[in-house]
Amino acid sequence: MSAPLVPPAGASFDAVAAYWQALPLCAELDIRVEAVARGYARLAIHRNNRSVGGVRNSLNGGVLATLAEVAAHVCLGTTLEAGGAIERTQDVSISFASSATAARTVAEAHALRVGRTALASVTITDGDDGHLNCAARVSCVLAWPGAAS
Amino acid sequence: MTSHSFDDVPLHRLLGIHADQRGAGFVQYRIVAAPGSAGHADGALRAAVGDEAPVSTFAITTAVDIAVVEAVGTVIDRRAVSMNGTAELNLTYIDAPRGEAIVRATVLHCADRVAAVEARVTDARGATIAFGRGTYSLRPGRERS
Repeated sequence: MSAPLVPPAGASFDAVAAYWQALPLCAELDIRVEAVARGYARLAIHRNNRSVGGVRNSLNGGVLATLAEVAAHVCLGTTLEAGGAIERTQDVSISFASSATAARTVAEAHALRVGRTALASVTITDGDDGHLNCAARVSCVLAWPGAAS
Repeated sequence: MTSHSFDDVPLHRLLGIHADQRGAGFVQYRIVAAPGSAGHADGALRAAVGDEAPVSTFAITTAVDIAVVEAVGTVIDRRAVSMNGTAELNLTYIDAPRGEAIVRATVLHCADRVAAVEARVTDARGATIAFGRGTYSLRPGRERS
């Protein structure tokens, strides 16, 4: 199976956005990469019939947790050196503060530490008024060229 | 257990989440290869063994939350309390899955305002690949239809 590699650090915004939006998960849930910088990513999910399913006609909590996880991967991907890769998620912890009912819900991820593992904090907010929907921390196992797995 | 209504939910179809078992205080789902359960090339997909397409952590994370919610739904008295949303979800991945994933959520405690749920994820080999817990918020009073 040939699938595109995650764009390396320093890749253009267009390359990063195109990669993630080509993933069926992101395409079908209408998750879009809006901005990236080294150690930072902003994504938005536009609600549709697949993502809604929570109480009070809100986005499904699992979708929000996955949005946080994807945002962390995009964010941490911007910090990787050549040949580095995110091997897998190690931990997801998310607190739900309010129902995500906006048409556009925004996830902002910041890298907190990058070493053998990497840690990102993610906040998910209402795209209309900016109030907090969720706060999350996501850690990932990294793979470096030549490192024993 | 076969649940056409559960399996036909658009999100569940996208992620390949199928209802497997359900009883008082627990639910179990199978996550199989589906377009939305594929991970990215140099991460989850690299863990593929033979023809077993691995399921991404993205799909598993979503399924665990759904399982937590559904497990709580099997034990509450809907005449007395209402579902109010997940409050906390913590999930730790031990390893990358090989092939399909099995998510099982079991209610540990359920009171009138909060329920605590344990989740465990195994893969096609039977190996535990993730575990976690969810805290679910409940509201006193009958559920509004």
